[in-house]
Amino acid sequence: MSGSGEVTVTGFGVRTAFGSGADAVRRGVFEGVPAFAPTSRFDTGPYRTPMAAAAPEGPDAVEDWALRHALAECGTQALDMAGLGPGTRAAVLLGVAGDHTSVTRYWRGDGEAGTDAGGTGAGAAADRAADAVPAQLAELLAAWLGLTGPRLTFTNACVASAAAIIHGCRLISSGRADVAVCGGGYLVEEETFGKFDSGRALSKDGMVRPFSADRSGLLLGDGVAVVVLESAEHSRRRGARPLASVVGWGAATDAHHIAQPHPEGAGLARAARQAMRLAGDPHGAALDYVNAHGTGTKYNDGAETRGLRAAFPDRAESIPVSSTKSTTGHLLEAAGVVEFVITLLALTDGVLPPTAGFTAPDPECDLDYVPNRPRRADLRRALTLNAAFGGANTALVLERP
Amino acid sequence: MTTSDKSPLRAPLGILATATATHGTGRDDDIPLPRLPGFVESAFSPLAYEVSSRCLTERPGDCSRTAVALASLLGDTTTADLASRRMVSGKVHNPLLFMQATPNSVLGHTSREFGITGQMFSISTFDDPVTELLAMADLLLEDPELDRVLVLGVELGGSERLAAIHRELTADDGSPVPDLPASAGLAAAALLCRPGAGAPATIRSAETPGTDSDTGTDVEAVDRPGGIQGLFDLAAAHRRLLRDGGSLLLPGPAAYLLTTDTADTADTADETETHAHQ
Repeated sequence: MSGSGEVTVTGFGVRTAFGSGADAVRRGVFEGVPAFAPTSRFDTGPYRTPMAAAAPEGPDAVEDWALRHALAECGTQALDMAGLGPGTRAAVLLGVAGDHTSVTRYWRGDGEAGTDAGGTGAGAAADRAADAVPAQLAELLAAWLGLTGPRLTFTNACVASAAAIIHGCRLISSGRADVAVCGGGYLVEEETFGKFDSGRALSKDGMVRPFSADRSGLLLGDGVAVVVLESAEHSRRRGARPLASVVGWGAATDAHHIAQPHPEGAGLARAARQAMRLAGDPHGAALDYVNAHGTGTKYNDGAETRGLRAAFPDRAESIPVSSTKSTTGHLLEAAGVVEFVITLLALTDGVLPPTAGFTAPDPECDLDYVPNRPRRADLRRALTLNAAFGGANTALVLERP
Repeated sequence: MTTSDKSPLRAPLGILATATATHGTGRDDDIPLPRLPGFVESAFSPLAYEVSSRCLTERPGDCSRTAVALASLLGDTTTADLASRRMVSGKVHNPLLFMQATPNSVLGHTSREFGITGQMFSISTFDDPVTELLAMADLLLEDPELDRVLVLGVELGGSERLAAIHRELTADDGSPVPDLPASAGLAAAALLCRPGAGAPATIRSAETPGTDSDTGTDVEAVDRPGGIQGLFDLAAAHRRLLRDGGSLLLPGPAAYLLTTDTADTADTADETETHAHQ
């Protein structure tokens, strides 16, 4: 191991409803184009809305819309960009809840070798039943990429892939690992769609309008990304050019509710303060942008605004904040890593991605949300935030070289 | 399929408390499923809360400096299967199943009940959860903002889908399919700190994996990928240490030495290990 120290980012791969790769993110997320449309991936008839940010079928589609394929694609992109290949010793850390389509296929009896032993209508979906196991996807990704080293999957819902990145940062900064390949993925499917519909969490007007007065909920979206984290010494030794450094991370819990955020954003503020302390800038004096969790729900966005005010009492109003879920939808376990990539692109491109679908200010959401249009900015440091069921919150600080 | 390669503990950990609970397994000490408002149908969350609350009640402490890590290979499969079967049969989802769909939900309940505001993670691993959770606690306790880590594992009985998964993972190599009843569940927890923080027992990495006969405990090898038997073994060893004192070698994919001496006893550890192998 190279010893403790700075964590750099040397590669990434990303897929959203806009397609595969960074340019697709630039065309969609950074231009403020919402990807929401009625999805045909399953019958949406039983639900209150057909809308999701699910990529359509086409030449750019991932094979079978299987999570294992999307992760392999993004992992390959990330390693290629980093200039690493098979045989690299790297921790493989994922944030993923498993491929839920295998659960649906099992109970629908869509498998190759139906058993239907209990008269349940179920068959043994003999192919890929194990893709429902979160740990299996990390195993498959590591095998596909030819990486040796420990593997671990985080399953803590919408902070899962941010937690994977934080774990990777800890492994590297403590000298336990030189390289950590961190990722996450969610592709829109019916199991989760139905659950969010039953919880009346989905937007009523087919749009996600974070921080806007008329926001009515979230919509789900496709998101998969993999990033290569590397100790600065390791990347320097092999002549790799870091895209950015991860200079701070934090995680904290609300201790408030199983499914709602703390109304004052207490845990989010605590995570952000932790990350900024680690970054050596406890008051956020050098913070240029916040990629918010910004789900577009009544509960989240007001709480997040108050949390940001608590974390940065002297500066909150002067820091641009945007929610890219307004274009990508909510990526669930993948939100952390995809938004990490978006934040990285904001730093490298010098562009703030907008909060799309913003119609009217809400008195309880009173920060600069970069409404509807991208904004050029000379960015050096940015913070990306995520929150999840159970009151889990994460914060990551990226810095441009 | 196991990935090994986990780092041994860099520094010893103190064990403040351990707890185990089983439901519907047929064991003598099975408990009725504790009632947990908002959590229905599944043993996952009630058992997770039960073992967590026992540890946190036994050893109250500063919950703003407490982290939680939950390991479960498959998560709450009872809820997942119930929701899926309802869906494919055309029934609407039960919103409560939405609320309890992730392990985070019960961790959120625990954090609210005990005021835990530290970090909270849930993981899925094919490795021995003891190895993974102790490594995570070791890493987390290097964070100057944390003093304690509650680690727990939860495992549920098998549906026919779990049996299919098991067959796929083992490539039909003849490994016995887990035979817990579908409604059964197991959970085990340990509240960890650094030695010197009032912990009556200490655990550290041992160089040589032992065998059952080394310790005299009911230690079993990892029963199946991600199985939490190792956490039950850790809890049993901890109970025995508190009763009898001395030291114990906990074998497994990674070996650990448990001792009631909380001082830094590297030399003593060697001596104990030698004794253990005599």
